[in-house]
Amino acid sequence: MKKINLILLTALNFILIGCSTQSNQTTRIDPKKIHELDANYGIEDLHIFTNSMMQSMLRSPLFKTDKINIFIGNIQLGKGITEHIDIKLLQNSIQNNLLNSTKVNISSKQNLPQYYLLSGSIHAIKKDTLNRLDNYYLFTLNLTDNQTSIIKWSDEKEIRKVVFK
Amino acid sequence: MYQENSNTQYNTIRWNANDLKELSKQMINSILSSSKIDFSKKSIYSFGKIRNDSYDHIDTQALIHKISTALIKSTKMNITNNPNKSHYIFEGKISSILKQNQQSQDMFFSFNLILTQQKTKKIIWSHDIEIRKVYKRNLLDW
Repeated sequence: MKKINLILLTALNFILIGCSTQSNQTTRIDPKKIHELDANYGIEDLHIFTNSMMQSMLRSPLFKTDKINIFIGNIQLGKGITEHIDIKLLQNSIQNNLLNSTKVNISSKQNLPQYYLLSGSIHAIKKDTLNRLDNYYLFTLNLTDNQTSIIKWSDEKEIRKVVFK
Repeated sequence: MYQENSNTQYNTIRWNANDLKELSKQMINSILSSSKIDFSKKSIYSFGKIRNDSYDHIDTQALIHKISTALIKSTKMNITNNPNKSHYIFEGKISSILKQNQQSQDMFFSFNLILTQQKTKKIIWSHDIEIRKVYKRNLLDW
């Protein structure tokens, strides 16, 4: 009887360890996969924004002729942003996409006679009501001619996330 | 639930994304259909301050960016972020009136935008957009 109890107890232990290992497992997933944990800004939004802006930018007449010079400027955060957004990560993502397009020269200094300043902003309007979280993000990006100060290309991307409580 | 394209389904009595989209859309249409604004591309336009005189925390820069992005995409106007290099400047304000009792709330937003010639300080164009929202408490909520 005691032996059977011991075997049963040992088996139960293994089962419990197995279950706990399953529930606490960390797995790697594709960085581009949509895996939402909450309604805040996430890596998915960075990808959506970058892809959308790149598609729009490369369709612009600015990119039809020779390679253009671009200086990556600042992306401002609006008042409604409550979480930490890594602007540098966003700038690097845009820069890498531009370089891969082979249609631009990226300058690290604003010392060329003619270039386009890439700048932008992220704004958010967040609502926290009784039954839902409603987060709206507005990404805007511009290319400004440094000689004329005229904005030659601009586009926006809206993202809205709703979480029901 | 995740929505990539914002829609008007979820509304609140206070300022929200739907109001931002509606006010900017109507103002953009008004600007682009105006006969008083010079679309010859000889003029350069910029945006000054949009004052928030309303009850709510409104990021008026978001409104400016939505409008200026649409105007640039239309290719009908030259827009600059540098007011010193512009011939004309857009400025405005948002105000609101909120009324409420135990049964309902009534929110009215007004967005006024004017276009001034920098050199002469003459007001070339002006437009008002109004939004009104009503919230009625469900009797069963009591």
